[in-house]
Formats: sequence, structure tokens, C-alpha cells
Amino acid sequence: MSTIDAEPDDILTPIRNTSKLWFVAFGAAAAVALVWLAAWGYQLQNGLIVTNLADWGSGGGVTWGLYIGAFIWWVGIAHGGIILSAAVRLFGMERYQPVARVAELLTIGALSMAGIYIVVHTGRPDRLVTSILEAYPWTVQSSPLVWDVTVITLYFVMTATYLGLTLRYDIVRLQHKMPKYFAPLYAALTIGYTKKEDQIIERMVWWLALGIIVLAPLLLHGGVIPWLFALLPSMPGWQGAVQGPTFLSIALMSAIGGVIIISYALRWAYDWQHVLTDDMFRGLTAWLGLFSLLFIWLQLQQVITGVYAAPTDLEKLMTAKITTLPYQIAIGLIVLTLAYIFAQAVDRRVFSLRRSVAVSFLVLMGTLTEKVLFVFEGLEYPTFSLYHAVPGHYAPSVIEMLSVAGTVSLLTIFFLVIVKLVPVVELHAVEDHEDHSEEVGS
Amino acid sequence: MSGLDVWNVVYPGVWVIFGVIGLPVYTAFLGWFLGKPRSLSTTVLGMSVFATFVLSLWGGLYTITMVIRLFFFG
Repeated sequence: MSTIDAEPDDILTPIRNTSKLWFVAFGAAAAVALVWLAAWGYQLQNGLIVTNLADWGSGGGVTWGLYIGAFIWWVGIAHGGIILSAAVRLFGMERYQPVARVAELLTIGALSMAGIYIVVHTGRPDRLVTSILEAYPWTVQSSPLVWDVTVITLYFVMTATYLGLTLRYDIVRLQHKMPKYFAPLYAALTIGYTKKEDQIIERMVWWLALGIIVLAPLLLHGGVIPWLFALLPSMPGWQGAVQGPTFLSIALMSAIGGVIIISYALRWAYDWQHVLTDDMFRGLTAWLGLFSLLFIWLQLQQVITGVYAAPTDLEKLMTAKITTLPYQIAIGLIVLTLAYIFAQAVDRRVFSLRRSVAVSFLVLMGTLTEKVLFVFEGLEYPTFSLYHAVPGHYAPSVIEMLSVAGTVSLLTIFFLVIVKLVPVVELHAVEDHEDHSEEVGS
Repeated sequence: MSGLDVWNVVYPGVWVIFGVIGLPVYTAFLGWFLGKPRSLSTTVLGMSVFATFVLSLWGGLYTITMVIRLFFFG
């Protein structure tokens, strides 16, 4: 059965109608992206020294800063998307089916932004691909950085395959109502389509969903990425098994926040109150609250074990961390979010879409701040004060800050373009259909 | 046996990546080939889409890095 009271034509609204606002949004996003690209060009010409991340000789020994923090943040945002979609398919959470494809697209877009940060943070990005591929057979044996690249590749490709396969059903049935000038694209996406494949594809994406829901949260953002840090014994701020669950909590909350914001923007732009319903947003808000609570709980674990009877190096790091104003603000933003979500759970009248969107922004700001602090404070407070003699103190440069605005703009452009190409709500969500959940996976 | 360092025989990345991380991927592919209903042509299509995305991702990244080399490090 359809999960919402909408017609198949409704999901084609973004493809068929282009308002002035779309052009304004595109122009504004493109302008910001160009400003950042110019700043990155300046960095490429003059080297990473323009960000104080070039070597051990500046920034108090910090060589990883906002770029790496933002990389982790984007990978985290990417998670919610596909996990939400996989949960719809695996656990029958059909309430979220209308937002499943938006969530999948967020995964692709956000992972691409994370990939851009890998390129941006290297001093010689032109050597990136050749050096990774040539040395892969040896580096994969021991380097968590190469494990990271491997798992992100798998995650991206599995998600893109998932999206590519699920789009076939929709495009075949809606193509006659979609723009003729995109016909070659639609022909490529539906190559070799036969009606008999529908059930088989449904089963194949069920298996992909199963793989992704294990790979992404448990082995990537709760695995390989925290291991990049936790396996370095000389950095007390990074070490320890708690980093896996902490990274995962941050990923899940920032991802749900991202899905809420983009879904709300689509609902507002295309009058999709009947497609992306209040009920769905209420559910997403509750999940945001659960993951935010998990995040605060894991922060408490680290703070208590870091400041009370802790080893000297850890105590120094944790004391610096909790007395830093940006950290206090980040935690405050999440606590504020929790207060709203608790209040709207107690009294449903407190809930409003705008408030849920507002706290989603707070969560994204809080998680980005926490991640950047985690990265550079970890380097600034090593065991035995390794970099004590290194002058300076790290603070994100204007170029680095522009990169956040630039990548957010690029993601905005990605969504502005994709809504014109393919339906961003699954046809299954708006049509009567048989529930195949008992057949798939057999 | 004293003196035998197991990490020098089976390096950590070998079992972490190909033994543990790979499991969800192997499982998905096994499900494609062994689950029902199935069709070899649709499974091959899925594998082709997967391979195309791997090549596009790294091919695209390679192209971008070569463009950067041309403009900034040529």
C-alpha cells in the first residue's frame, strides 16, 4: 500500500516546474562555491602553509585541523541517508519511505564532499590517486589511512549501486512524463530493463541494504575512521575504544539533522505537505533526540574518565577541552536540542517543523565544532608534550572556513540539479503496491 | 612459540579489510547469486553497475587530480 496520500504525478513536480527561486538558489550557491574554489586555487599555488597546516613548524604542532574535522563531519552526514533508506527496506519502517531516496542522495552528495576534503588537504593532490593505487598492495597491510580509503570506496559504490538499481523501476514508469531532452540519461539508467526484473532487483537491493547497514555504521564511522585516531598511542585525546561509538553517535545525529533540513526545504519549495508529512518529521525528530542523548552520554564517559584520577596526559587534554569555549558552546547546542525534543515529546503542541529544522542546524554546528576540536586538540596535547617547543597555536584560517561554505554550496548545487533529473521520492511511496518484504531475502 | 610475531605473518590490514570489512560486501554478493528469485542476467547487470561506479569514482578522481597538475604543478 502507499505510505502517503499522494499521486505519482506529485513526485514529478520538481522536474516539471522551475521557479525563479531555483535560479536564485543556484546562483547564490555557485557564487559561494566559486569564492571557495578561488581560495583553494590560492592554497594550491602557495601550498598548505597558507592554512598553517603545512608542517610541524607552525600552529603548535597541529597538522590536521578543520579540513580533517570537516571530512569526518561529511562522512557522518552521509551515514544517515543510506541507513534510513536501508532501515525502510530491512525493518519495514515505511513511515520514512518518502524520504528514503532524498536520504540516499544525501549519502552520495555528502560522501563526495568528504572526498573533496581528502583532495583539498593534500599538499600535492595531483599525486593522490597514483600514489594510493601504486602502493596499495603494501599499504593496505598496515595503514588505517588506506583502510579508510578502501571502506569509503565500498560504501560509496554500494550506495550508488543501490540508488542506480532502485531508480530503474521509477524511470521506466514515469519516463513518458519526464523531459525528453534527458532521454539518453534515462536510457542509460534503464538499460536492459524487463518487467520480470522488478522482484529480483527488489531482492538484490535488500541484500545491498543488509551489507550497507553493517558496513557503514559499524565498520566505517564506528570502525575504520575512529581507528585512524584511536590507534595512535601518543595522542591521549584520540586513543581508546570509546571513539568508535562516539564517532557513530555524531554521525547518526548529524545525518538525521541533514535529512530533516533537506526534506523540509523540498517540502517548502514544492508544497509537499502531503508527501513529506508532519508525522514523518516527528519521527525523525525523535530519532535525532535519541542519537543526541547517546552523544551526550558518550561525552560524559570521556569527561569523567578524563578529569577524575586520570593519567596526567589525558587529564591535561580533557581539562583543556572542557574549558574551551567552542566545546562548551557545542555541548550547549546539543543540550538545547535535547531540551526541545524532550519538551515536544511531553507536549505535542511544542512540536513545529521550523523548530525541528532549527535544532537540526544546531546539531550540525555542534557536531562540526566538536569534530574540529577533537582533531586539532588531539594533536595539540600529545603525551610528553611532544610539540612543546613548536611555536604558535592552531586556529582555522579563512581559507579553511571558506571550504565549509564551499562544500555546503556544492551539496546545494548537487540537490538543485538532481531534483531536475530524477524523482527524489520513490514511486513506491506514492503508488499502491504489494508489500514484497516477505519475499525478499529468501 | 616464543618469538613469533603473528602480525608479521598475517598483516593486520589483510584480515581487517579482506576478512572483516569485506564480510558485508561478500554477503550482499552471495545473496545476489544464491537468493531467490534470481536471474543471472540481472545479477550480472548489478555487478556491472557496481564495477562501473568503482571505475567512475577512481577515474573521475584521477581526472580531477590530473587537471590540478596541469594548472598548478605542470
